[in-house]
Amino acid sequence: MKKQLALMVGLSAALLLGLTACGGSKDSGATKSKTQTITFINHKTDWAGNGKWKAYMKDFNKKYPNIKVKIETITDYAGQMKTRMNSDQYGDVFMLPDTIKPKDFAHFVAPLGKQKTLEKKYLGLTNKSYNGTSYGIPSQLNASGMVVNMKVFKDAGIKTFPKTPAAFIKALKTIKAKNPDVIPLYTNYAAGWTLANWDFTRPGVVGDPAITNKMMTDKAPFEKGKVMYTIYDTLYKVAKDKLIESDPTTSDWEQSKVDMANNKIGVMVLGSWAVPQIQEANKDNADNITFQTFPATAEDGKQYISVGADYNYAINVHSKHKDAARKLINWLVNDSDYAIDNGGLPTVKGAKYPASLQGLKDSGVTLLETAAAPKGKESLFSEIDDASEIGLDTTDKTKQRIIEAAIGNTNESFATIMKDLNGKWANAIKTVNAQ
Amino acid sequence: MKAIRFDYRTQKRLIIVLFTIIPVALLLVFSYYPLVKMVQYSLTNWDGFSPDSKFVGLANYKTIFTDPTYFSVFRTSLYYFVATFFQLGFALLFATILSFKVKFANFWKGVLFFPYLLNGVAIGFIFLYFYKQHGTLDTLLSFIGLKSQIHLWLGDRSINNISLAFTSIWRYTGFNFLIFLGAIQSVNPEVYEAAEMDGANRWNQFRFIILPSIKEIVFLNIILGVSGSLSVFDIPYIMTSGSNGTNTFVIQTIDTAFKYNKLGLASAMAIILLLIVVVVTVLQRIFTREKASR
Repeated sequence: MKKQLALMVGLSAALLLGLTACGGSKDSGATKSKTQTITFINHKTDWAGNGKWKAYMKDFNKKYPNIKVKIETITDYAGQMKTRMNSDQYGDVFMLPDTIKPKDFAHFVAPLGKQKTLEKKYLGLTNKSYNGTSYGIPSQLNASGMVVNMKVFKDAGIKTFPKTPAAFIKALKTIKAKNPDVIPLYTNYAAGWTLANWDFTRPGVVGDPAITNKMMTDKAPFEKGKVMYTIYDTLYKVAKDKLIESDPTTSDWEQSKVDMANNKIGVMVLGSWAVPQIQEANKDNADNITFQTFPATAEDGKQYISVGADYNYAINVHSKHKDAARKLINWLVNDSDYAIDNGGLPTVKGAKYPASLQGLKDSGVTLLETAAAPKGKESLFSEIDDASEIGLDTTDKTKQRIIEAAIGNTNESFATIMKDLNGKWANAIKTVNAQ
Repeated sequence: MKAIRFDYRTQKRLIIVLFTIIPVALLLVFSYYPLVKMVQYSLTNWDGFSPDSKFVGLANYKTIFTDPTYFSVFRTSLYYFVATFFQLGFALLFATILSFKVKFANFWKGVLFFPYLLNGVAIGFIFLYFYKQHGTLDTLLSFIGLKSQIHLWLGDRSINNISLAFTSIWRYTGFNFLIFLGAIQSVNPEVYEAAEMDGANRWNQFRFIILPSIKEIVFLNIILGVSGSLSVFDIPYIMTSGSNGTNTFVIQTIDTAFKYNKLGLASAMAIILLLIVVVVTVLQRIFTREKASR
């Protein structure tokens, strides 16, 4: 018995020593041979699966052989990261979740530099900057509009994509009449997050980069004639005229990409990042998958498309390898093809556009970057949005409610919904300003 | 070294302490500590990640009790509550049948209990494809010539909660069945024999022997059904994520916490649900104790 005990104590002591030795050697090794290991947490699970990240890191190591990068991908990225960021273990480099409010950036993220300096080189820094300091660099910029299968339109005799909501609905009706098997517009109601793309289009629809800032003081942004009304009205009418999938509740995101690639769906409201994913599903038909702006023309008679930052790369404020982390970010933004591979606009100014967006630019659509929020009001919009529980840009409930009313699942009229939204928004402005 | 000898009582105590210390520690760390924290969060306006939050007192509770939208979702629970009675009916029926002499009794028991062993997420997906347009159910109905009866099982607001409640019945009947079966089998078999000799048929046996002897268990199951239907979560969350009128109180709590970033408010909602369930359970205790003492 006594012997056993001694053995146990000895064993655990040895184990403990071994452990500390391990930790020790890691640190000293890092300083001696200068090999540093950093962790990069992101949402690209598909890239972890198809080996794309591995290939990327191989390239990265050609330039920086002394930095070893451990890639960690999470399926429910935004949800899990939020919980994880309550600890200090959220990698060295990570994608900054949008729920983190600008005033809290400094608590979680290491500053990357002055916004003024970085702006000379990069696009889309406004979202993740606070008080003139940038805390994130966008991995890519996305245009928000519609992924369109032009073959479906051409088969119905429509040669060019419509430019007004009325013409758009007429075109979808023609498609439905000519080819009843095709779903003119697929809402992806069940996936939920997809519906937020309708909201993202608003600066392009109205042609005003500061529309979001204006909404922070507008007590009736859902009134007739205003941009959110136009967007939601289009959604309502399309659903009401049965131009969407017949059972939205069980719609399937993965299947929708395949169906669109095979000419069974005409339009989906998404970001430009979706184009390569759909093209991938049927490579022979890739040319017909195009990206278009929301069918609306601004007051000045021109067409715009809103461009906004995707996830931003950021450095954990608790990271012990901030230099190495910064090198990885710089490499990803400046040297890698991340943006192009994901159908986005590169963050570096003057870089080559992806084919889908180049076409759009050539056809005379102006790319519109969202204006920065006024100083000190960087968090205001999301605070109002959360308080109102409308979930503009963030969730699905309001858009689902509109679809449900349109297909006759509820008795609400469109006017009632808009009135209710106006009321909620006005109340939220009041509550947030009172705090 | 001289071995230390404890007397019997000390040994007994020592063993009790040693055996309970780990579960009690786990309970404290993973159940009670989070509960205390949740009460604490429910008094703040914390958003779930911000380093600072403001103490708001009972404002969150006030919001929930004054805004009818937060409580209106309990209407969905009624579907599941009604479903509980169907569930108990089926369970009791099968338990009674299988308590008599039946061929392959163990096989049937396995078949009935199997759904309960399945993971809720798996069940959600099975039934999602079952109810989907052109899914299993639609195919089956058109095969047997009932094409006219096809609905959008999850899309049609007048029936989607029934579809979901049916899934819940399918899942939990096995569990109730097992409890009932256990209770029925604890009845002395000689009583049945005596009853048979007196000319009682199966129905009479059920009515005058089985039902009175398992009355307590039936009541307990109803109470479990009530608290279960108040906190329905996984099946509607996976199949419809609470859209189209299938929202439940728990789904709403999750949305409040993680979609609208109001963790303080969501904690208050969770506490309120906890209190309701505690009240229901206490009521059950009071009722059953009364009966037992009678």
